[in-house]
Parts: sequence; C-alpha cells; structure tokens
Amino acid sequence: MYFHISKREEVKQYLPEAYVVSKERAKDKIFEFIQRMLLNRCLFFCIAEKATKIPLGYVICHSPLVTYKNSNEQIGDWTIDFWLGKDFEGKGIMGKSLIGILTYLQKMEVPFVFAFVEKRNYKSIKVLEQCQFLRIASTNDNKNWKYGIKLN
Amino acid sequence: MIKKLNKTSESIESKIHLEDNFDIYENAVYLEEYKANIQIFKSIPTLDLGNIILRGVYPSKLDI
Repeated sequence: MYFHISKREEVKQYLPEAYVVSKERAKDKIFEFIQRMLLNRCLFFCIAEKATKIPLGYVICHSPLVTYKNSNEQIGDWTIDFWLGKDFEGKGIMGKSLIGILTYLQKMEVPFVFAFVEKRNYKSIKVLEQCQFLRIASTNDNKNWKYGIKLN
Repeated sequence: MIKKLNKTSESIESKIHLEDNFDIYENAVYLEEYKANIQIFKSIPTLDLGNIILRGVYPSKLDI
C-alpha cells in the first residue's frame, strides 16, 4: 500500500524523500523509515481506516536529532511531513490526523512543532493552517514557508 | 485538544531569534528539551481518532 499512496506526482514534487517508483523500492523505503524510528530519528505513523485497517496516508515526525538546518545529527526541532493517497484527499483525514499527533506531542511536552512546505503546495498549506500552524518565515532559498505551532 | 495560539507568541518569536545562534540555541535551550523528547520513543501509541487510527510503524507491523 505504501507504493500506491506514495507514487503520486505530488509526493515526487513536494516530498521526494518519500516518493517511490516501485513496490520493491516501497519496501526499502518503509524499512528506511523504521530504521530511523528505531534510532530515535523520527516517528513514522501510518494513517489507517479503523474498520478495514487500509492505509490512507503517512505522517513522519522528524525528531530533534535530525532537523536542525538539515544536519544529520544536531539538535533542533520537531518537524513534520505528511501525505495522503489521492483517493483520500479532501475528506478532512489529514487535518484530523495531524491534530491527533499534535495532541499526543503536546501531552509528551514537546514545546514546538514545525513544518516546511513549498509555497505552491496549497493543499498542505491549507491543512497546516486548519491545524492552527502559523506561517512564521520564508526559507533562505525563498521556495518554502516555515510553519510552526506552539504546543507547550 | 491543542490550545488556541496567540498569533504573536513571544515564544515563537524568541525561538526564531535563537535560530540565528546555534550555540545559544543548542546549549541553553534544547539540550534539556531533547532529553525530555527522547522519552517519546519509549512508548509510541496507536492513536484512535474515531473512524481512523494512526499506528506507529514497527517491523512487527509491516501490514502497511
């Protein structure tokens, strides 16, 4: 299912790290995310329909270990990436999922969560703003907005 | 539920300022926060949100 959800052109365009071209690469990618999670470098969530357990999309919460100024090891912020399968857009699924994750992170005393989103990625911007993220800066290359939310 | 935010949060503004200076940012602020954050990985729950669930993905849950 990861392949079907992540082979989208929009994932390729906006989240190339998550994009895959084949089922074989999808399996590798899942193991890559799991390995990162086992090393405390991200939380990797699968959004699934409760009744059928069918995956609908994914959310990655990058831990402070990896997100400071693109460093692989330095301490920075929690940031999130997220994507849905094409058939599941426009149903409020991602907004609901992000609120659930933010509520969990808030409970775990995470102070801030950030998201970097391309300025033309209007769908993701809409989701972030619905979840009360605030636009706080433009990145140095002027391609992305930096959004943030204060949780604690 | 998440608290409603003040759009001119002093905390966010001060954080942006700190980003300009990694030494201050790392040493004075985030080492302690990081120690707290690491607890998150010890027990990642399945979040039940009604008609959807969010599952932390582990090797034992490869039915994704």
